Amino acid sequence: MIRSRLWLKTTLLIFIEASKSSPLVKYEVESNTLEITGECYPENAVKFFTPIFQWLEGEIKSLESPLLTVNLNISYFNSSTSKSLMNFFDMLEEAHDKGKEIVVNWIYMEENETAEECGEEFQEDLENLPFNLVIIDSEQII
Amino acid sequence: MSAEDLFQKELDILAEARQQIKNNTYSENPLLPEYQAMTKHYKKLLNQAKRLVTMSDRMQKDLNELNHRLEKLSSLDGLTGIPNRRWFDLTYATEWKRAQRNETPLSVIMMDIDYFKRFNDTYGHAAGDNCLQQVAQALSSGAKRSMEFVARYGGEEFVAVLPGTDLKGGQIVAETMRDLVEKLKIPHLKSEVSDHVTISVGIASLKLPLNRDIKSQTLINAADNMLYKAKDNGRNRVCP
Repeated sequence: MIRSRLWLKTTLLIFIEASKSSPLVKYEVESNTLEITGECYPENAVKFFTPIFQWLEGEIKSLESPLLTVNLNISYFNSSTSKSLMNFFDMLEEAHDKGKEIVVNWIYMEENETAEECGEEFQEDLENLPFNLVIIDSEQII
Repeated sequence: MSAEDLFQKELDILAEARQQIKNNTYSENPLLPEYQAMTKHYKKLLNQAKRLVTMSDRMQKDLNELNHRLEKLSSLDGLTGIPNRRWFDLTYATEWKRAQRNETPLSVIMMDIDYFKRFNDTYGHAAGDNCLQQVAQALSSGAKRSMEFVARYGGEEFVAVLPGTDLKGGQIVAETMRDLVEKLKIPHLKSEVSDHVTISVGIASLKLPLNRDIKSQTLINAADNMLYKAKDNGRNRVCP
């Protein structure tokens, strides 16, 4: 039933199951939210991120769609992932500058100073894209 | 080295590009805006490279710290907090090689708590664990010189390694350790040699000049044999 409702939307769907070295990637059509959760150190970051970039290319074409929320909760990632994320944010920023409503939430655990500092690096690298640092405490994990 | 220094070459290229654009020869060039955009882009990518290095270093630091913590944990005995058998095996092998190479003395002390099974049966396993912890701390405090250490060898057996110490010096340390345990005054009513917890101690040392044919295990076996002799001779004593 849910599936038939999803098909009504023209937007591409994306769902990648989490593995030991790669995060869960999930797009929720109802809230127009992309979620990436987990550790990210895939053997081939380009290969891993390709479907995500393809999805994003389709998504940013439709300027009239509601606010796109990107929730990232990546506690550990390798260097090629950080570069991929920067490319990803650049694409989002470009779309944002063209008028698409986008907000990125960089979510991390209270005691994870490294995740906080990395979030700040990403934040400082961007000029206009709304990029929030969101702290969750240990009890908020589901 | 700061990221600024690390990317000095890139910064120089950027500065040169800007200088070139400023030069009057280029002011009429129709491609000038594109050059300017490219320079801006280069600067952006350079900043990203700096950030990537910062983040990567940060992650690596976390992993290294974690690695060190795990390494330390894997070398300590969970109950007593002193080095475990694994650590003993590794470190003793190193000390053995060092003694062989430098022709320096090396002593090994094997120690065993007297009537420990009876202690456990009488006072319970929690008291037994507590006894092991106290004995381990007392013995460790007896290994004073750098490179000397006491490890839990197994069950109620402990081992001390004394690099640079000959039999005579080793016997003094062994007697100190026996005395330290006796002074803990842990009651042991089922012991046949004392009212308190005691240990039997066996010691063996490398003889100089070295016999190159003997193996590292030989010294441990010799100390172990001396421990059995101490047991046979009435416990709560050092042998030889």
